[in-house]
Amino acid sequence: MPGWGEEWSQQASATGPTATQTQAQLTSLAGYNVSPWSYEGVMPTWAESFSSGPADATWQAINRILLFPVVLPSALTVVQSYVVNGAAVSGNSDIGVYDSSGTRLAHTGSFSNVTAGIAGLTLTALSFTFSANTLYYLSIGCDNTTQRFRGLQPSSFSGSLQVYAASAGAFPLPATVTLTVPTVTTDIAPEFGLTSLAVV
Amino acid sequence: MLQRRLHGFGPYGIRGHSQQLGWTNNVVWTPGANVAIYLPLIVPDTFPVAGIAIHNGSNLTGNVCLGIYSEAGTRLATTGTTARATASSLQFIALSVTLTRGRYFLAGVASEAALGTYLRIAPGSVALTRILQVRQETLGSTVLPATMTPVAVATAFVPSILVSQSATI
Repeated sequence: MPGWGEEWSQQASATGPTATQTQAQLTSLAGYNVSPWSYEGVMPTWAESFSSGPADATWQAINRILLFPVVLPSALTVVQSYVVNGAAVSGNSDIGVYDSSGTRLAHTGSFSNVTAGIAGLTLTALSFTFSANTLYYLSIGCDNTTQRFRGLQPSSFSGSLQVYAASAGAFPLPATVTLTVPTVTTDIAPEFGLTSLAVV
Repeated sequence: MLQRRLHGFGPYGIRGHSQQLGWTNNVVWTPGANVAIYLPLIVPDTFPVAGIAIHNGSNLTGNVCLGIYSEAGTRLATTGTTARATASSLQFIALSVTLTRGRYFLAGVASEAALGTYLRIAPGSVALTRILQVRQETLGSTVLPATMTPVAVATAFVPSILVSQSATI
């Protein structure tokens, strides 16, 4: 992929950026969006080895939440969350931000999954300011297994991606989560995130 | 590290925010005649722009107007209405402006949408195109406005537009 190597797309760690992230990369600018799929997240690196494109799949467990690490190269204030739905919508979701200790910093609160149809979009207000070069976790949870999201569904998440999952009882996003060992999961990694400009 | 070019498809454009985006050549200006498309662009450090370019298809019917907007939507520089040239390749147009570190929009509008063709990316859906902060605006002419007033895109159409430190390459 032309130019891809210049992006800030390496994995984050619990202690912050890894040694593979060059100073030039760290001094670049955060984009308009931050998500597991933007270059501030881990999924671009992982998706490079994924042979097929995004599809939609059901949420795999009632009240499951997933947490994806992101590190922004510059501060960014976001105003809105988004998630891309699959062929069916049902129930409620919650999108939020946690710090590296597992403390929730902001979240939308439970919202209805709307806009049925593949690649339908659910937008919800969420204001938060990310600091530069700081490890955060973007989190999404859903309260049912009928809801479908668009994303990629691997055979297993690599623990090295620092993606965490918590199961029943966690929805809506709890005030704290325990981040110990990254969870290997086959859940779909939805296309969701936060934007600095409201999506129009 | 500065690049010679900053491309709307590149790591500082929409490609920094999605995967699985293939490009296709020889596509008409799908949004419609005189409908401007705005592409987000991140400028990581001071970048002296000398030219702006759009990748044409094989049919050069019509005119285009290209430009650059601030994150707040103020037009910083524009080529004005320009006859299309250079089939199946990048058409460079001189444009002089220095961009400082920040977030911007590249802009392009075409005068007709039936014959003239372009190279473009089609994100997986209109919704995904919206997430990528691609926007559109219906104009009364092929002239980019002093202030953009964009609305949600109606098509998954992302033209290939870039700015360069050269006016010709």
